[in-house]
Amino acid sequence: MKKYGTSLAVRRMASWLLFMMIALFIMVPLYALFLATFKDGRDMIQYGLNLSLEWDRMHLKNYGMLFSGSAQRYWIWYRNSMLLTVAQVAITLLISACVAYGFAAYEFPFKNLAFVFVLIIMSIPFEILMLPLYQQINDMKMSDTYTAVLVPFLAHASTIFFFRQYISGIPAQIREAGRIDGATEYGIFFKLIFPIMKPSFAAMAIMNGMNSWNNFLWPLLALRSDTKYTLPIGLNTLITPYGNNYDLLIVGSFFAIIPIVILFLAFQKYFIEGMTAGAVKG
Amino acid sequence: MKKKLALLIAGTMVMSAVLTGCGSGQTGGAPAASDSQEATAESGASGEAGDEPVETEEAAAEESSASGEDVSAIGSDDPEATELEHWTFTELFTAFYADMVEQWNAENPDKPIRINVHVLPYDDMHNKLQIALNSGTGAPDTVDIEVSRFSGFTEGDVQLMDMTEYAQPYKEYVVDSRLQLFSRDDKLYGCPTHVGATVAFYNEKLLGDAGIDYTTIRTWDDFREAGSKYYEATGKAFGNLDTGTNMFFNLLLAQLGGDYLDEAGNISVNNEKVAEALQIMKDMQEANAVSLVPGGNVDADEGYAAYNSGEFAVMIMPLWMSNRFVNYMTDLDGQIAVAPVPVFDDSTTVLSACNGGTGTAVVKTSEKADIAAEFITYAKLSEYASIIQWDTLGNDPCNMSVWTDASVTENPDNRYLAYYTNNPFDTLNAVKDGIMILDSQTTKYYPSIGNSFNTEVFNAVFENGDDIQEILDIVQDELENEFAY
Amino acid sequence: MEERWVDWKQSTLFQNPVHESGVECFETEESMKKFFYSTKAAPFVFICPFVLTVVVFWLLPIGKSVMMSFQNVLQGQDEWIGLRNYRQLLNDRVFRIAVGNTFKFTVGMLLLLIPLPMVLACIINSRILKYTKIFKTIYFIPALTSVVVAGTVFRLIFGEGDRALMNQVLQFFGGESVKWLRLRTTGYVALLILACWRWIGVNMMYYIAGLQNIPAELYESASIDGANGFRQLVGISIPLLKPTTTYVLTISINAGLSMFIESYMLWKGNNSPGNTGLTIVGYLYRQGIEKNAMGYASAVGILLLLVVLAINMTQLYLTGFFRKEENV
Repeated sequence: MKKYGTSLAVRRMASWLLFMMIALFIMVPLYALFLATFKDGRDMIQYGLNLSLEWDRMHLKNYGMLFSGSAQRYWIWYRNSMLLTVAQVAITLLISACVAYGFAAYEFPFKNLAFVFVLIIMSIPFEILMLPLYQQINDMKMSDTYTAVLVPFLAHASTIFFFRQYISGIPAQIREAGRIDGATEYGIFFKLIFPIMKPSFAAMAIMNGMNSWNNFLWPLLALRSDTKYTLPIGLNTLITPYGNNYDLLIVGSFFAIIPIVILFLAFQKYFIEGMTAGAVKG
Repeated sequence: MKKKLALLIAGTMVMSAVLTGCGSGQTGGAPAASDSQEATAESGASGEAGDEPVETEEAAAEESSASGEDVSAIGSDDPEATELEHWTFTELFTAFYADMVEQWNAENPDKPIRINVHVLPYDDMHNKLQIALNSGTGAPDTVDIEVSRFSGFTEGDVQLMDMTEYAQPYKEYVVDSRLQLFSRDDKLYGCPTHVGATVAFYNEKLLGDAGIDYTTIRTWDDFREAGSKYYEATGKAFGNLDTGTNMFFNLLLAQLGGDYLDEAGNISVNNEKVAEALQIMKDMQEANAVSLVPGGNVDADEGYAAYNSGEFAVMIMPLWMSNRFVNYMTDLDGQIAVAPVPVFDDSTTVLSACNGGTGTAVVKTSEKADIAAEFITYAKLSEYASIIQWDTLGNDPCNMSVWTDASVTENPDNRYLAYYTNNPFDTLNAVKDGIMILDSQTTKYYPSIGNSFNTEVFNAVFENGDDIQEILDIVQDELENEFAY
Repeated sequence: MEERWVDWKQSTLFQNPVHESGVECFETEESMKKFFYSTKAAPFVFICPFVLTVVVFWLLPIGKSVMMSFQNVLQGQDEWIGLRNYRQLLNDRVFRIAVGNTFKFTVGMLLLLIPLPMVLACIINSRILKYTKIFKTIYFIPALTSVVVAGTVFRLIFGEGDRALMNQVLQFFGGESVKWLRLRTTGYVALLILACWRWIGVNMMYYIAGLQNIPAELYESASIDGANGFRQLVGISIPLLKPTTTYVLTISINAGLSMFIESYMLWKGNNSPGNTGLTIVGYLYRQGIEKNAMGYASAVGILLLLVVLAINMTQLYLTGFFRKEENV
């Protein structure tokens, strides 16, 4: 017993060290970004990003600019990103839950084939179909609308997969009881199953929210008006071959991380719970 | 859980409403009908959050669609005015077009114009334009196309308008090579922004400290010797050697009378002139007359930084670097002199090369193509346009009539003139008849050739020290494969 | 509140004529309604929106891409050219570089981003450390960061100057400044570091979730039998985590093969020196967008698609997915 105790202490120390090192590795770039929000964009151009604290060169000008109204377009992008993320998450979760329920709760011809199809879709890199899809959106007169941004991701294959696992774990008796009570098939889903699925929503809300908030390539193609840009695209316009706007880029980048981190912190508990419940079982 | 979810959604929506408030009056591009549809779906999905936030959300959506006007609409308020949709990839040009539209409307009260300038990310703008032109929908009326992408738009059934006729009134004053760069088969498809004449920028102070008089540098041999001397005296780099851009290299190649093509117009990047030009640069590198620029390109952050801190003394670049000097290399104010680039000997006829730049084009299928072409040629080629280009953006103006106009060349309020130790127009006038381009620059091969040199050849030769002929042969095969059919 | 769901569902999601047109064609409507609410129709109603989006917004463009890969696509003059694009691709040296980079990168990612997160998750799960929640949070933050932001930050950190962070670190340890992003090896390292930074937390989460399905008694009895941490890892965790590992493996392979924006942001464009950072998707982007060779780019895309499908089918087959589904 005694021997076990010492080796535990050693293991604990080693583990601490490992975790602290990785935490450092992860935090340092973010800390450098944070420090840079107090520095001149011109410093960034001259010296790159570093951890030096030069009090005389640091100031709050960037924050002043961000909150004074000269960075209005930044807040427009911010608002667009928020609207799109909320819309995307709500729609994707709803539709994916419906599809997952269709697969998990019913028997129908070619069901398994269709499900394999879902898995295959899941594996196609979106980049491959991006160009023809843009042409198509253009032909459908949908370019430069938020519909075009949302529509390819209305249903998200891995979310469906995840929900299906989750629903499979819900006893079929609940559905039967609902039918006996005279509820319609849709009533059963929305009134009985939906509430039970909530923990899994948290996990998928974070996953999808993360994807949508950070989605870059497709909105970049689909949108054209600068007033409709989302944050990642907007920030990217600040990096041009014709002079960079690092002042706004850096402080803007920093604030772009915040809402999604808050979302994560708020749902962290449910996130892990939900992931566990729907975890891949092979 | 429920509470938290409700709280979060409510929070998000309140925040977005607040943000809408911030942007009100500025938001625009009126989110289309699709948005309200989304808002409905969304309010359904978030129903459990209670009624209030949902309404806030819808109110937000309504407000943004009601707040009308696009931020970048510039020009006449006249409802009859022609409204042009313009795409560009640099915000600097927005103010320029604002100036030009104002002047146009003052001079042409019968043909008022309003222009909506859309600033898109660089790659993205060209790519959207390509797809829009291919599919025939979604293209703007007018667009700024970067020179290295220009050839992509003059292949097949050209969708850009031939502006030759409209440019006629200005033609005799405009630097011809610059027009050639945007012409195909004698049809002008784009109007230049500037000459982009490649010159030498000498840091007079640093050179003076090392005992070097830049005015004595006439030939590349002088240049190399001065460079070696400077390096020995200071331990610092003299001139720039870029791996990410071929501007300097194109100049040397043009001065040698070479090109990337053979006489029949086929790709021949492994010809002896190309190898010779590379070898000359390599020799200069070995003599420490030129050194690799941090970041591989003078025209980028790390390049500016290196110059600003005095790590380099000379730059061979186009004159449009002026606005980079003034904006990013502020410590060098009052130290830089502009001079013609060195030559090989007295028989060298190429005194400068046009590099970089943007061609403004009109989309042929636009209903407003005629007036657009009239406006664009005016906005890019007229004397007034050239004055604005120089005064606001520091671009060497392509209308040569301003080169000798003392009100421009001696303008005491011009920040670019104030920055340099001498007058850059003296240099421009001195090289006036020797500003050239390579024939290959107007061919469909050029974007690929440029890409291969900027990503592979320079890197292999100057960074890794690979054999020149070997890498050229590889790239030749590569390009032949690309254009084999 | 529950009522609202039904209300809303009927009014907006399923806008069929039943609810809008009223009395005129009552009889057919009644039967339609009946069918709509039957258990036979229900699954299709549920699946319908998904199938529609997939067909219109995924399969159609893929079909178009397949078609274009046999064409020379020029403005207004497409011509059929058979297998020419594919033949040209086989002789394309830059494409081979892109393929090499992509595979090298994918392998590097698998070697780092599977064992390490697994070990981290096991340590967290073993509860020998306190305050693991804060680590979980910290490790996950990078995944929440946009590639645009992350790429820009890392580009500036890996700057060439002596005062850029990575070079300061090197100098601290007595080394000399390195042109990180301009040399082959260091460029690869920088890209790999960026990928690790972004994904370590996500993969760790998958493993934590997977571990929670392993009964704690197994570890307890192993401890009583005297098995130490390492033996527990090899004897219990790794074998029982196989499903999770398979899943993480699949998504990592997919992410590796379709990597592009990381490289694009890190090198501030698609043209890295010596094509060090060029990936397959990057090459597709260069051909299709920068060079306007849509047909050729489509051929690149279709080849990538075939590779990805082959890998995924193999994976599904090996995990016995097809067999299991047949038995359901």
